[in-house]
Amino acid sequence: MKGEHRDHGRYTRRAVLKQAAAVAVTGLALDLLGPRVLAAPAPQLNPVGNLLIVQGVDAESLDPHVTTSGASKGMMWAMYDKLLERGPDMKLIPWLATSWRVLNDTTWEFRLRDNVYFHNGEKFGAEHVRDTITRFKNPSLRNVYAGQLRPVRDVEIVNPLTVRIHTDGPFALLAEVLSLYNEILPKAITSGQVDPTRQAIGTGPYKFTEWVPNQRMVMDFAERPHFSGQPKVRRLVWRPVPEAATRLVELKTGAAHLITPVDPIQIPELEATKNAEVVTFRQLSSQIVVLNSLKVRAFQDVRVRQAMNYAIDVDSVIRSVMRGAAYRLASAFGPGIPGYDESLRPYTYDMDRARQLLGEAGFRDGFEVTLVTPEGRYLNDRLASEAIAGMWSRVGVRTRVQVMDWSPFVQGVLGKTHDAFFFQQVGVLLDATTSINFDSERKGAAWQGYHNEEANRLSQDAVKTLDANRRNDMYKRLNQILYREAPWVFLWNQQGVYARQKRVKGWVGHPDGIIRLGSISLV
Amino acid sequence: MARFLVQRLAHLVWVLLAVSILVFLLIHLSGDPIRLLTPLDAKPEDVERVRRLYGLDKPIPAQYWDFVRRALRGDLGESFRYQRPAFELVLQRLPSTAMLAVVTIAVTTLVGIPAGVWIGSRVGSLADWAVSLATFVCISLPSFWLGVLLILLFADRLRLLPSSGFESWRHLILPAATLSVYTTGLITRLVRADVVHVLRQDFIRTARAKGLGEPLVLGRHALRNAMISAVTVLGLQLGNLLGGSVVVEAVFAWPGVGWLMLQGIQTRDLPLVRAVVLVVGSAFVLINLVVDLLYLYLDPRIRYDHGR
Repeated sequence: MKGEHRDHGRYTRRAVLKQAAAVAVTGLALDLLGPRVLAAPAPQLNPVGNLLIVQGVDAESLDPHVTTSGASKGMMWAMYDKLLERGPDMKLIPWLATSWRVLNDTTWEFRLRDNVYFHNGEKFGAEHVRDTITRFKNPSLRNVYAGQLRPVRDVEIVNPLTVRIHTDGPFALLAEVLSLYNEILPKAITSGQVDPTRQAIGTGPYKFTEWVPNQRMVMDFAERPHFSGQPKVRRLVWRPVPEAATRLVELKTGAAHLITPVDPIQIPELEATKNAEVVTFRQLSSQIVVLNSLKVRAFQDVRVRQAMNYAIDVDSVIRSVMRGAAYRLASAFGPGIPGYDESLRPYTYDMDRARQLLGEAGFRDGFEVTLVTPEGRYLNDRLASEAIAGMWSRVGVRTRVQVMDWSPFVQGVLGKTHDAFFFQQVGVLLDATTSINFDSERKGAAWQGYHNEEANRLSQDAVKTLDANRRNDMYKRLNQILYREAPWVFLWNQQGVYARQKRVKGWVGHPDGIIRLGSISLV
Repeated sequence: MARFLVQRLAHLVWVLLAVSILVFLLIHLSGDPIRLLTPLDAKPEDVERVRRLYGLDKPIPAQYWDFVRRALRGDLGESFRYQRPAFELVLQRLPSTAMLAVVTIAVTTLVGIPAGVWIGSRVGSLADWAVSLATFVCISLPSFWLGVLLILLFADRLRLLPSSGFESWRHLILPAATLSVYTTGLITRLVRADVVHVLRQDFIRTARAKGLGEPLVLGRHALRNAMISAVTVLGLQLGNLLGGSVVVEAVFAWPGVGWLMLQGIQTRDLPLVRAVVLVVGSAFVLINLVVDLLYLYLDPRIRYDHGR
C-alpha cells in the first residue's frame, strides 16, 4: 500500500520519536511483567503507521471457524480472541478467560474477563462462550475441526463472567483446543444476522476494514483499548505474495515490514541488507520418513527399522541439502511437544551397525523399497529424499525415489499404499497424540502398521489424564518406546524463517509459525 | 452472416458443455478433492461430514447433474475455499486480468507489427538480423525467469517500480512487460514472415509499377494482407491472456484469474475451477468470433454465407 508513509505526515518528527520511545518503554514493561499485566488497564497510546505483512498465501475465508492454515489464523487472531492463548514459549496464558480450573473429571470452569467489548459494541460474556461453542460444533458448518470439541456436552452459564464446560468423559485437551480454535464470536454472528464470511466482528486489538481476496486484508486498530495493550500501529495490511523472491524484494524496498515464509537460501542476502533482519525459530513439527510395515514385510522387524535410522547421515543432509535450516531430531517429538525427552540421543550414522542389524533380521542381501515424496510441500523434500535413498542403497536397501503430486501422495498415505514416505508429522494441537499415528487401534491418518500394546495404552490414557504432569510423563514414556522401536526415521525439526525490517519492534515469532502481533510497533 | 453468428453462438454452448465435463472429470481423476480441502489431522468423521456438505459424497454423474441444474439458473456454485459464489470471485478478478491482457496486446500490436513490417521489408539487412535475433531471444525467455529478473532490476536495484500487487498503473508495468516480451517477439516474427511472402506477390509488383511510394505499398497493400495471421494469433493470445497468465500473476502477486485458477487447482476447489474455465472459455470463443469477423474487413474475398 502506497499510503504507508502518509500517516507519518500527520505527525511531527518530534512527536513520532516521543511516541516511539513510549512504545518501546511500554513494550519492554509488558515483556518484563508477562501475562500478569494483562489485567491492568491498558495505556492510552496513539497508534502510528501502516504495518505491511506479506505472507505466501491469503486467508482461506473470513470465517475464523472455517480457516485452518497458519497464515489465516494469524490474520483472524488480530481481530478475534480466544479464551486462552499461547506465549512465545507455547505455554498457555490467560486471554478472554482470566483463569481456569478442573472441577472434576468432566467439568472445567473458566472465569471470563470483564469490560471486553466486540467491535460492534456487544459486551463479551458467558453467553458468547456458550453460543460460540455451539456454533463451532454445528454439523452444518464447514468446520473441519468441529470434532475437536465433540467431547463437550454442555456449556453451563454460572454467572455472566463464569462458565462451566461439561464433557462426556475426561477431556484433557480442552484447554489446548480452546487456545487454538473457537474464536469467540458476537451474537450478531452466532444468531445469523451477520455473515462472518463477509464481515469480521471480534474483540481483538484490530477491527476488520476490508478484504479483497488474493489482494489485501486491511484492519484498523479498534478504538477501545485491548486488554493486552492498545495496538501501536494504526493499520494492518496483509498481502499474499506466493513467490519467495518477490517477497524478499518487497521487504528490501519497504513495501513490506514483515515477510513469511522466507526460503533459507535467502538468509545471506537478508543478512547483508541494511534495513532487514532475520528471525528464525525451531518449528514444532517433526520431519520424518514413515516406514510402512503393512506394505514392506521387512519393516515389521524392529532391527530393520533401527537400521534404516542408523543408515542415514542426518547431520550431513541437514548441512548440505537443508543448508543448516533444520534442527536434528532424536525421536518422535522435538522440544515444545509434551513428552519431549532431552536425554534421548539421535541415532548415530553407522553403516556397519545398519548392515549388521539387517543381517540379523535376515536381510543380509537387502531388499527393494520405494520412497515416496511430495515436491515443494516441505523444504527441499525431493532432494532430501534422494539423499536418504542414496544412503539406504549403500547398506543394501535398494531405494527408488518416487515424486508425487500432493493429492495422490495423500491418497497413498491414507490408503497406506506407499512403502515409505517423506512426511511431516504435524498436529495443530501440540498434544503428542493428535494424529494418533502410532496407535494401532485408532489407526490415524499416517499410521502404517506399527503396533505396540503399551504405546496404544499410553496414547489412549494420556488424553483422559487431566493432570498435566502425569500426562507429560506418559508421553515421555511413549516417546521412549517410539525412539527404541523406530516406526519412523527421525530426521529434523525444520527451521521457520521470518524476515522483518529493523523498524519493526516488539514482535517475536512463535514456534507454531502463526503470527501473533503482541506489542508490535513501527519506529 | 446472421446464420454464421447464430451457428457460432450455438457452438459456444457445446464448447462450454464439453469443457465443463472435462474439468469435472479431470478434477476427480486427479484425486479425492476432499483430501486437499481438509487437513490430514482432521478427524475422519469431520472429513466425511464436510464431504457431505460439499455434495462430494454423491456419484460423479449426480454431482455433474446438480451443477448443470444450478448453472442453468445462473448459479455456478460456491467456492469450497472462499465460501463465496465462484462466479462472483471470477468476476472480481477479471478486470485486473483483462487490464493486463489488453495492455499486453496493445504493446504487442504497437511494437510488434511495425517492427515486423520494417524488418520484413529489409530482408537480409543488418537490422533484419539484429531484430530477428532479438525476437528469437524474446520468445525463448521463460516468463518466470524474466519476471523475477525484472523485479530484481527495476524494483530491487533501481527502485523505480513496485514489485508486486495491484494498486496503481505503476504496478502494471512489470507484469505487462514480462508478458509483452514473448507476444511481441512472436508477432514480430510472424508479421515479418508474412510481409516477406506478400512482397513477392504480383499485386505488389503491380502497385510499385503504378508508381506508388514504398510506404503506401507497405501500409496499404502488404500490411493488410499480412495481417490475417497476425490477427489470428493476437486473438488467440488475447484469449490465453484472459485465461490469466498463471506464472506471471503468481510472480507479481497480480490478483487475476490465472492465480485464482492456480489456487483452485491446487486445492481441488471444483466450483472455482469450473467457474474460471467457463468464463474464460466463453471469452475465448467470443474473441475468436470477433477475429473471424475481422477477417471480413481484412480480406474481402472471405465470405461466411457461402452455404446459401
